[in-house]
Amino acid sequence: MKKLHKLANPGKFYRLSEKILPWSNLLAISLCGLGLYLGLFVAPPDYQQGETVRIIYVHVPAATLASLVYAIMAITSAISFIWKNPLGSFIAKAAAPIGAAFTIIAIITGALWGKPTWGTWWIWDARLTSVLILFFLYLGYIGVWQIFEDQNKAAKAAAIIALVGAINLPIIKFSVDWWNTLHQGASIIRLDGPSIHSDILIPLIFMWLGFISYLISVLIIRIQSEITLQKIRAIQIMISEQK
Amino acid sequence: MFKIFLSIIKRDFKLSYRQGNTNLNIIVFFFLSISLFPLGVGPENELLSKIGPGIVWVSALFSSVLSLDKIFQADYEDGSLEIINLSVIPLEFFVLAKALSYWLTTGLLLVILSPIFGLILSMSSKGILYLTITMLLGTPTLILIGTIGASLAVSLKRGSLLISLLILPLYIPVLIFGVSAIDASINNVSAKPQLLLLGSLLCFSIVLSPIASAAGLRINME
Amino acid sequence: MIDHENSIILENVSCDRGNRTVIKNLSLKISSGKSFTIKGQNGSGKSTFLRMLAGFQKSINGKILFKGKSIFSNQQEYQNKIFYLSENNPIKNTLSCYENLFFWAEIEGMENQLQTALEFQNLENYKNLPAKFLSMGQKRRLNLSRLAITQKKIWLLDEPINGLDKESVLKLCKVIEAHLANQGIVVIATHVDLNLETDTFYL
Repeated sequence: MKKLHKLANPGKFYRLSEKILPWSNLLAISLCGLGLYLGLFVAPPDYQQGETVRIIYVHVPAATLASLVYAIMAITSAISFIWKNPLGSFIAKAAAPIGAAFTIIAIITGALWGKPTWGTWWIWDARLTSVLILFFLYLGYIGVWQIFEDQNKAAKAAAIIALVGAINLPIIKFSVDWWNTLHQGASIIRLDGPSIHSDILIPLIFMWLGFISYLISVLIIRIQSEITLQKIRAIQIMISEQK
Repeated sequence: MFKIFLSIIKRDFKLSYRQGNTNLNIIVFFFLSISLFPLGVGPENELLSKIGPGIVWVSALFSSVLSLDKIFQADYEDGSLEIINLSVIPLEFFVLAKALSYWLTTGLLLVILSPIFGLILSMSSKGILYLTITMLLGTPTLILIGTIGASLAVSLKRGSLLISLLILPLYIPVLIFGVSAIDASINNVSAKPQLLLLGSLLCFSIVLSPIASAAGLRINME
Repeated sequence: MIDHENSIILENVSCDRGNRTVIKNLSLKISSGKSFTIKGQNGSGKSTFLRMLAGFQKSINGKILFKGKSIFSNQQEYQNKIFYLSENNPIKNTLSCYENLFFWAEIEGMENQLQTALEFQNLENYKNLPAKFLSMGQKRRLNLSRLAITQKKIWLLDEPINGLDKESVLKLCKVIEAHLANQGIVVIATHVDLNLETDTFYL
């Protein structure tokens, strides 16, 4: 019975998340819907890039969330490592695939935008390269969880990897920027050129908030299913011990 | 405590001297991968001297990844690690001692041999000089970062290589600064900033990676 | 005379191995001056018990106290008192017996006792032989020789006499008795009886 009691701890989280989930779902759908409508039909096309510019309504929120999720992972991992509580590590575990998905969305939309604008799918630009490396870090983090059979060990190992990655990320970013200025001319058209018009900015903010709501929803669902999975495992072990 | 630190290094020296061929394998692997590049990209001297620094550095990255995943394995499996953990020396210093002796037995050899690699890739003499300097500053960093992956992988029968590969993105700054220092020297630009950055990466990893690696070893001893 | 100050006390300790709880709500006292033997089948948790006492493995609940304080309150200091003989022999095959012993002695700071250690398990003749040529029993004896060069107070011995001949066992018992006479603590996990005065616990 002790074991069940130990697992009842995340119950608090479960009840709280049940209250948040419907709201974050609603916000995600409505904000993204509104943002997409404004972005695709109301906002004017760019005078240089034409209709292709509309891809930024997906690309920019995805790219910012890609790094934001890694920051969340680093913080929750640090908490779990310092206070020796696996819950933080499990939150990071739930977040990692979402972050990886945002990263890959950012890369693909970037490539789709790059083809008509730069004339090529991929360019070894500092940002693109950094995002690609971020994607590798996500894959590495997810890999650690799968390699260890003992989930408690995996939780601690993954926390270390996430922290080491988080400390290194600024250094990597700095080195990539350095590398890029040496190898590339400054002729690349960047997204953040002139100041952004409010017709573009407002749908962008809607999309961004919508993406964050979506992140919260998926995160909650993934953590809930992780808790349930742990419960099932504990019950299975208890049953096998009683026999 | 410093005495134990030295005795770990002494023991590792003896071990690697008697086992010999594993260290040799790394050198051979390194040499082989460098000789494969001209076969892949063509034998033109001009091209080779241009991409030479990159070739040597990428090979250094891969050879350290491939060889490092076993650095703690033997001590973990036979229980030496437990004895050391119960002694007065903290695990962090044990990691440092292992990394240092590993560098002295393999990394240093690569540094000494790097002029030869520079020559066969027809790099200029200045480029070769800076190749050697950057290797001297960079290879210890690679090993120190690599111990993090190795410490996590130590209890794994499968997948130990995979963990070392996870560490690969963390090597990127060393690669970039190492290669760009050589490029700068070839183009008669001061390579001082790059060398300073390589040095600071080394200092950074001397302090931080033993902490991470010791934590990794503790996880696996539970 | 039992010294109450120098004892290890377990209060309601449970411990997992993998996902299985092998030790459940265990409360007992290990006194200095008298050896403590744990018996049980394979997989009953003898090794887990010793690893827990060594501080390698944390119990999921309960407390382990040494001198009235939790062993994790100052883990480093507590662990410096532990001599742990695991099932494995931490022997490097390419080093000779002498070199293996020398390394352990350096860690303990006891290089001057090396000769005693070699004599302890009759290994003088094998002094310069690389350890890979030793038999399993000889390797165990080489590992046990560490007992002659340790100053640690708490000895945790996991199946110490596996593959040992009578004479070696006798010598081992003598060393253990001497340590106990010095108010040392000895915990032995074994399935074979040693000729020692001992408290026995069945897992």
